[in-house]
Amino acid sequence: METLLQAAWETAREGVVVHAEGRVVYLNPVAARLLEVERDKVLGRSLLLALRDHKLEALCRVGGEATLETRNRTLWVKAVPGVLLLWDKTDEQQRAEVLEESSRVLAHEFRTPVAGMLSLLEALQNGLSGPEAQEALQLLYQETQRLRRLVEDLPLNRRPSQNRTFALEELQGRLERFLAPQLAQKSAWIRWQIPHTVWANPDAVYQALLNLLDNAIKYGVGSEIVVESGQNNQGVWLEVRNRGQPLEDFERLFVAGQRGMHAANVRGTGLGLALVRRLAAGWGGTAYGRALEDGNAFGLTFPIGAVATPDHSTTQVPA
Amino acid sequence: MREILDRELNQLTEQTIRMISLVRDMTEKSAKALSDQNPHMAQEIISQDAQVDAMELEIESRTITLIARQSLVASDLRFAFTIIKALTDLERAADYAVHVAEDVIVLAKEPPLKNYITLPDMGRRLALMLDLISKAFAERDIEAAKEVFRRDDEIDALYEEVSRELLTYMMEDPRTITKALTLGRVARSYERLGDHLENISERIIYWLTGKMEKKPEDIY
Repeated sequence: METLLQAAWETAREGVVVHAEGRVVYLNPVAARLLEVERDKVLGRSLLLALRDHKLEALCRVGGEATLETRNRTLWVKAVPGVLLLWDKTDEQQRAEVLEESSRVLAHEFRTPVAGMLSLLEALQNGLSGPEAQEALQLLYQETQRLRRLVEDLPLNRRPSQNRTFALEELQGRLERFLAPQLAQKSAWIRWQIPHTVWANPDAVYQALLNLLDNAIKYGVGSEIVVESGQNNQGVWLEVRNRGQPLEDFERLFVAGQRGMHAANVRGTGLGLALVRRLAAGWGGTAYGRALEDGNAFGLTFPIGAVATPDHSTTQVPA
Repeated sequence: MREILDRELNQLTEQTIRMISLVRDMTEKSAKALSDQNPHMAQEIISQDAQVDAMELEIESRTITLIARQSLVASDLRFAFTIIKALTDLERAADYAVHVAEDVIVLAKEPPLKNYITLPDMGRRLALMLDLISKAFAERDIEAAKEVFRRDDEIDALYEEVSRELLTYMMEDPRTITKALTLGRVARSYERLGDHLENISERIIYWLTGKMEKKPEDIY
């Protein structure tokens, strides 16, 4: 019976350490792997020398359950008299962290449009009437539709699936009206020069531009924000430019969780540009940043296969 | 006679492993407190320091008694001195974990300068180095001790990286100076903590081989 049990433990997926009088009398291969010890070296040794962790040793003495970080792993451990059981929860923990990160990403995607919708609703509540009210309602309707599509297209990496050819100018009016309260607050305006047509998911480009414009309003100085598109032999580019201190390390800003040096006192998550890059990847393009003489430009590219070349597109590559 | 000596040496090893494990716990917690901006966890670390200090005194006294009573020679004597030297480094390492915890308490009072990624990573790497030291002590594993050297180089590289990044923040926006200086102190504490772990590894290698190994840049 004992041999059978031992054979079972030898192939078990859980780790087990059997001890008597404070010394290890058996540990299975999984326990040796999780604790990073060599079985022949620890058999017969004291628990502390074998486990090399004062919390695990204490648990063996008093019994109970705990989740512990040791050897770069998350272990769930249960101690009963004479036996210590170990389960590797590292992957589970990592999955939980990924889920948390996804929740943060979603929250970020919804925060900007919801804030804009709230401003429009407040304006309506405060008596906005006539054609302006109609326009606000129309905008609210469009935004709600867009958010619905966003939800329907979850998970995020499947979102840019509704690609079609469209003129970038299609997005201008909605974006400008939607960002009007934020622009008014900073006494800023947008100068548009986007005559090109691209093949992409308009919702994804709208979302990417919304993020870039939101950043330009928050972090830029001066009143004018420029949105310009152009074409080179690789495809179309679309840039949002604002005045301010030129930045240095742009690539770092496209990593989730990294924020610019001017962002210290502005509320944000550091996810926006990472999302923009992910959206651009969805239509086969990319997102980039570059310093200007007196400001910064953040842009999107649409590769040649994703471009419906317009006859009038003669703008050169940005310097 | 040898049996008694072995038992006493084993007890000494156990106590040292317990102390390493405690310092490891403090270091790991300091990284978590930093990434979570958790002042309560930081306070826990600070209160653990008294335990480390008490352990240092107890192990030191026990080692001195052992040297005096058993007239240790050769590798046993080297082991005893390794313990004595390692105690000082371990105690200092714990102090640096406490310094980080104190800085976390200050940092947690205001919104973070950025998401802290590299600094907690340094803390977690140091906890892994303490795992290796523990393994080297318990299993007389020279390779584990040497691995600590290599990992300390990574800590030094991360320290340089963080310092440069913080300098950029400060140059670009003077409003970030206070926070950036505090973060710089955290990076420095981790870098120094790594140096103490490297010292312990040198001593372990000396105990196990009779030869003192130092990195070329540490020889003057």
